[in-house]
Amino acid sequence: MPDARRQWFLAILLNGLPGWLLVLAGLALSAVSLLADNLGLGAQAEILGWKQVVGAAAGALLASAGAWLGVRISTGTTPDLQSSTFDVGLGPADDQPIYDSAAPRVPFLHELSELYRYRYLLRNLVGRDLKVRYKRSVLGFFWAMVNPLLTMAVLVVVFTNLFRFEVENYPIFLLSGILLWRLFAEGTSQAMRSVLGNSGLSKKIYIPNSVFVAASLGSAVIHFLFAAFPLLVLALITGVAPQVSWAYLVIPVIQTTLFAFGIGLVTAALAVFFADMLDIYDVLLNAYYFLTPIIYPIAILPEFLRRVQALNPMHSFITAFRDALIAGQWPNLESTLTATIIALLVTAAGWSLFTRLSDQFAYQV
Amino acid sequence: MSNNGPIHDGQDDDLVIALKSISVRFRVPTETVSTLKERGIRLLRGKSIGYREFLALQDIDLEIQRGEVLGIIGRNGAGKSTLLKVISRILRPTRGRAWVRGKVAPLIELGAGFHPELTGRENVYLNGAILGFSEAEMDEKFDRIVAFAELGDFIHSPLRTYSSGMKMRLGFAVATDVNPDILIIDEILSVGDKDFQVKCTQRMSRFRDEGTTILFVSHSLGTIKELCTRAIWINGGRIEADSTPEFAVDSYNQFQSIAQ
Repeated sequence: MPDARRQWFLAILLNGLPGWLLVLAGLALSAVSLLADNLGLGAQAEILGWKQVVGAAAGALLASAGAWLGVRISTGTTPDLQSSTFDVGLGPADDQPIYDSAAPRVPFLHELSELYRYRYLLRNLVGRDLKVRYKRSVLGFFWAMVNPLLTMAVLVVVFTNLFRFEVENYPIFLLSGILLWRLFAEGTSQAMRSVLGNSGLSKKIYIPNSVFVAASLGSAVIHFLFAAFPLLVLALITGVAPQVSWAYLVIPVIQTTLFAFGIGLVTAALAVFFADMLDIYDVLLNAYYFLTPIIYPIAILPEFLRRVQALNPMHSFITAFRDALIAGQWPNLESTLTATIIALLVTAAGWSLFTRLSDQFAYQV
Repeated sequence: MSNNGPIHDGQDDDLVIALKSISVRFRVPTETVSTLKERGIRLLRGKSIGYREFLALQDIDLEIQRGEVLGIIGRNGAGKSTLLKVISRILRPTRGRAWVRGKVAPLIELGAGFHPELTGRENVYLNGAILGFSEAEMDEKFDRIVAFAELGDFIHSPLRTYSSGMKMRLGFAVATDVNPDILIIDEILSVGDKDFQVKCTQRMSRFRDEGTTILFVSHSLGTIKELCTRAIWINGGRIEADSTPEFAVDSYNQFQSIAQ
């Protein structure tokens, strides 16, 4: 049965995804190390420098670890080919749905279809979050716009007087960075608390856990959109001319959302198993905030840290956003694609981890 | 694994729930090591973490036909709620196979998904979505729910302004307007005043008459005898009796008096 074989292959591929991603990363590291000279990264006289050897070895190690992980986690849940019922999870909804706990399935796809099936709940949860947050306040939804503006006002006053950064239009530079950062920070930390926080509900009735994580991201995105409006108005006031490149602004927002979704899935899953995840993540988030050029320009960083920023996804999203907003620059296709692929990979890895662990959540909470 | 074949061979069309040697095992850490830091330290020292295994269900075999009203009795912690969780797919069993046909609706504790700041109307839609209904489906149910809950104009006020009786009526109205194939009721009828309990019992009888399969956990043995067509008594994660309600209740009572 070629169809079953294809699904079986798909199951191995998706169930072991975090492992396979590590394999790819390891191989890439090895290849880059070995070909460094050809790529023009370091023109050494030696044929093989020690750094290259170390890089290649580390890459090989990483790839083997990935292969081990991939094989280990994809077997066990992977159905055998003879199995008669093979529920990949994308079948049509049924009037009389059949639940079979023993039916082999691919958690990665199964949870996707469940998330789609519960899309109305997703919308309701996002709506609940927004309504509840602003319902009793006098300014209502206006707060979502005012809050980041006040933060920015404080920072602008502090930074323009204490330090002098050589940045064109610092207020907008600052506000755009902060808004995108808040989308990430708010999205991930709420996502982290979402599965635990809704356990009262999910203990009583079946709800796919990913709905809670997606809803956290959903409200973070809506908050961002509320705040983006005054950002554009302020940009116009401070003398930025509206430009065609503003059409690009959507892309970094989507990239940040995907990235935050992936990280949020990982933290949400870990928070179920480890109580101190909440505190650890807050510390990490704070460190990440100050390591990323959000309130300061990248130019003030020492050479070493500036190079590291090339590996920082949030930095590339924020930079693209600022370039398009303030300088009117279209980022080139290459950097757009790289950033998008990184964001997608993080999402896929987070989804894979989350869906593999979600069966155990009910045993933990 | 023989466990993987089709459980339903086409002969037994009325079979709605089949549990085959279901076990649910919780791992309870013997020491409280729930933080990442402590676990890391232990890992570095080469110590492993001790677990006590706790079998909430052991080798449960159970088949339920369409239209049965199954009472489930047993002490606290006997595994009644765990069994219901397995059937309503909240818990995937550690071992064994659960097979369920049809839409399962737990009559969750009234208003488990309610939020005090939202209006009654918003809560109805939210709770409907939790039960897996779309907005269009809820539009169709909405008027009926409001009528049953007898809320009138209060439906547009925030839930925090409701009396506890109103909340209860609304929760019950939403939860029972679902037409499920399998209805799961966990201790719900013990709350509320007499009128409300009568209303609940009536609605349950209507479900039963319409052929809905009902799983019913209660400590009220009288209600079990009155409503159920069959009862199981669970003790220590095992089914001790599976019979007529009278017999199961009697065995349970005997066991209780001996234990004392």
